[in-house]
Amino acid sequence: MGFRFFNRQRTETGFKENDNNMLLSKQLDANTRELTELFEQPLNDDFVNRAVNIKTLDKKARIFFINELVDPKVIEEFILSPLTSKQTDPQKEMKSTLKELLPIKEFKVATELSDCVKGINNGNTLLLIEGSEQGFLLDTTKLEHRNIDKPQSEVVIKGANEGFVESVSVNKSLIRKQLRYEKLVTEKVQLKTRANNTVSLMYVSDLVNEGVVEDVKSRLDRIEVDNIENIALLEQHLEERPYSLVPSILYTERPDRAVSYMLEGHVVLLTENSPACLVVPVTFWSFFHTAEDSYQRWAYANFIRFVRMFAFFIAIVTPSLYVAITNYHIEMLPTDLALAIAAKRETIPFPAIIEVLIMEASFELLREAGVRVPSPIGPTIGIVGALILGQAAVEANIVSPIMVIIIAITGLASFAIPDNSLGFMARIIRFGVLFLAAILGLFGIAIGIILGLAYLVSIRSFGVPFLSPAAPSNKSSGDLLVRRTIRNQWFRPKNIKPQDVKRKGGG
Amino acid sequence: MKKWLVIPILLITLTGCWDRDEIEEEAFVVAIGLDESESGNGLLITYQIANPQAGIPNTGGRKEKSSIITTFNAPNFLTARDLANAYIARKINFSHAKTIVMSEALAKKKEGYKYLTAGLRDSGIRRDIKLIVSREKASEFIHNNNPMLETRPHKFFDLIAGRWKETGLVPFSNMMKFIQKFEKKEDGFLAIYASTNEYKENKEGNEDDYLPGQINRQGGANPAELIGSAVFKNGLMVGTLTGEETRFAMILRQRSETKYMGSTFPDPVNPEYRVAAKLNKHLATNVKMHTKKDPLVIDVHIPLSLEVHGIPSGVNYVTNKEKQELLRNAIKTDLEEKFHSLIKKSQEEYGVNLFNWSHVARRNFLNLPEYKAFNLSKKYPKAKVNVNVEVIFTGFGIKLNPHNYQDAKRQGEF
Repeated sequence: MGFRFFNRQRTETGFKENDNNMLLSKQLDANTRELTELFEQPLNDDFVNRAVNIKTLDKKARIFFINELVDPKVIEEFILSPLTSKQTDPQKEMKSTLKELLPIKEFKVATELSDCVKGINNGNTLLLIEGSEQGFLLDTTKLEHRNIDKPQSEVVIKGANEGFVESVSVNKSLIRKQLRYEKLVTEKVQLKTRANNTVSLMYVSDLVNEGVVEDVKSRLDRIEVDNIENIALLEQHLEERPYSLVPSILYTERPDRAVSYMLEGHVVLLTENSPACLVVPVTFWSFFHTAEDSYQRWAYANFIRFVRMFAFFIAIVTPSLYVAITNYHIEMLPTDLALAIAAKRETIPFPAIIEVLIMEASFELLREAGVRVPSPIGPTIGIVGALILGQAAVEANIVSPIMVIIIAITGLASFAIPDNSLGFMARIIRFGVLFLAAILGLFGIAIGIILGLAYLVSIRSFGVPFLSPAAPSNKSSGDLLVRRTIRNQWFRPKNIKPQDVKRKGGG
Repeated sequence: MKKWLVIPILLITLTGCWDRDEIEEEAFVVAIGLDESESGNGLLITYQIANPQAGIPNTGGRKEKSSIITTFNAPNFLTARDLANAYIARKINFSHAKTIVMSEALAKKKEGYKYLTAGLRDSGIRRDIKLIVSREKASEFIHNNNPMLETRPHKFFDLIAGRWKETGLVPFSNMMKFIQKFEKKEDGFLAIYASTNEYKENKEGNEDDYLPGQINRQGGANPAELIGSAVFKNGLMVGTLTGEETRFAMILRQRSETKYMGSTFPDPVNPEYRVAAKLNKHLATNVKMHTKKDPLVIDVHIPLSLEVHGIPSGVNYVTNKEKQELLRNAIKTDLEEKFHSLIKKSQEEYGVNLFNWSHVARRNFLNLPEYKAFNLSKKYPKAKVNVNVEVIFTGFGIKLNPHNYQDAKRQGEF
């Protein structure tokens, strides 16, 4: 596999053109010249290139690294000092001599210049020795990252509070801490991006559906861009339907969720710089569940599931139901309510649908402003929002009080949807259903819901039907809308096609 | 332009919101009154239209009247709404009409059911709209009906028509049932009977032996009384039942949803007093029809459970088994007598059963022609009906012994 990074003829990105699949030369000076040129040496302050004398071999050598990516202590203690002062018996092969000499955990031999460059870019230290055609990449990487913190959006009351941070190695250690199993595999996939991004695939090798692993790899292989900074971007490169409202990849900040998915045969994707991982394939239920659903006891968990189900429904249809019923099906209302709404609406200058749109628009505004507002001004949003939405609009006879209740309950319900993507979906679909309700009444809402369901049934995420194992029906642990007790969840969901459907001890 | 876009665009442009009405632009009729037309042409129609603003704070409607009532002559009570719109700005909406009040005079004429059933064709009218027959003119009834407790006019009809479930003093009567019975022809239909006038034949009955307008009362804020029922045979009103008779008619029906009815019975030991009890039919009435016999024989078994909670005579029916048995038999005889007299009345006076017994008869036949040939309506008036009442006591209230008035007197309580 060549590295297209070097072959691409694109100058505007700032990468230096080079048609090099060059091998290292025997002469240290030539190699040094090549490397310094590649790393823009006189300009590039971070690139360090230092000459050393290897005492054991009595040879000239040079080490190359990028200052901010390495641990200087490691270089000093485990590279420079042994090289210059330690004495061992020189062995036949240079590699084994060096291995003995340098107490470094990872040690790679590179013969191509491009490999060396890549190694340096990833925080390795390159050791070149006079008269040798081999370069030695020593692992000295040390990247700065945030400390482990609580997950920001997937908060639980009961359960672990460690969330992923922006470092793959930390994230992997968080996962491995929860699942100490020899079949837990990390596979590194090199992307064909200019910047040599790697993606780590994690899965349990004796459970995973190998077809999915292959599918993910082939999709990763097809990505051709300059750089993928983080996993949220990777998600958009991987998904099948970029225009769809429905998410098909789960984005989670919680290592425990990642582990539970791996144990069901899913594949987890990790990249650098992302406080989250991706899980594929997923179904509707994955977005609907939270980690806490399993941690809380059976009755409590199902109770919160019901609340959430209710919230999901409310978030999508409440404003539409209001419009449909007050405009088309007045007979459905209790007479008292019909009269009360009629009385309050009498002085409102707009039809019900406009009233809803006004309130929806102001609520969405408030929501977006609340996210973007700098925290010192934050409280203002609350005051303005409460005043505008709650009181002033009613007193000014622009909206009726019942409308405030409807928008408030819709907003509240949309916050109860656990997944960010699903929440967006509900927020946007709401307007579609509202439109249908305004022109066709309850009939329109029914059409909207049927169309939505038909679409959900039709789509797949990495080959898995989105509403399975409910529709089409598959054997599963019964963890869909409600869940069984943990003891009775005997099966892995068969729609994922894991290698072993039955959950049992002993691996 | 993409081809698939054509379908949604057609769907949206070809359908439309033609039926859309803003809720505040509607006038909600809560009661419809039907009277004979004075000119002899069409009907005299009364609409009671709710005022949504009434009683709602901050809308300026606090002191407004809760409804407006309008009466006019029109050929049909549904088409009349266009006429009403000549002077009512809002669109007349029947979807919240709770009650149709029909005057007794109209109910006794063919025009009554003709106009009533015509109304069913309109999709805007509820099938469960209650049917009330008023002794006086319907317009008068609606005008006079002025409940103080309920601010809004529909509430009174909603609530009082729901009381049939507990008291059984009025039957469960709505349009749908009326049409069913009217088409079936073998069963009589009972409609709620009501009046806002006082009638001279005031009488001192027991707690339920009244017709509307007869209850000897003072106050109560509303002249309207709903008690008893109007008997319909083939869509025509043929007579009335008092509150008590209505209750018994409900019990004689196989399935009656009436829950508890309070009732009193003569005390067998001390006939001066009456024993108060809550009556509950805990099982369905078992009706058997021997259709092969001539005359027709009908066996009725009525299981009743009684919770006695008032023994003003002070007789110990609670712990004394013999006296209890005496009471049981007395109540049984009393009830059986009353059932018999009601059945007799229905046979001789009205010639139609009021107890949905055609359901029972149907079971004895394999197909409809056989049943039709049997002709229940003809055989019923001559049928021999055996009524057996099974009385069980479920309780005697929360006090074990009756109050000992003698002791009480001695201790100076009385």
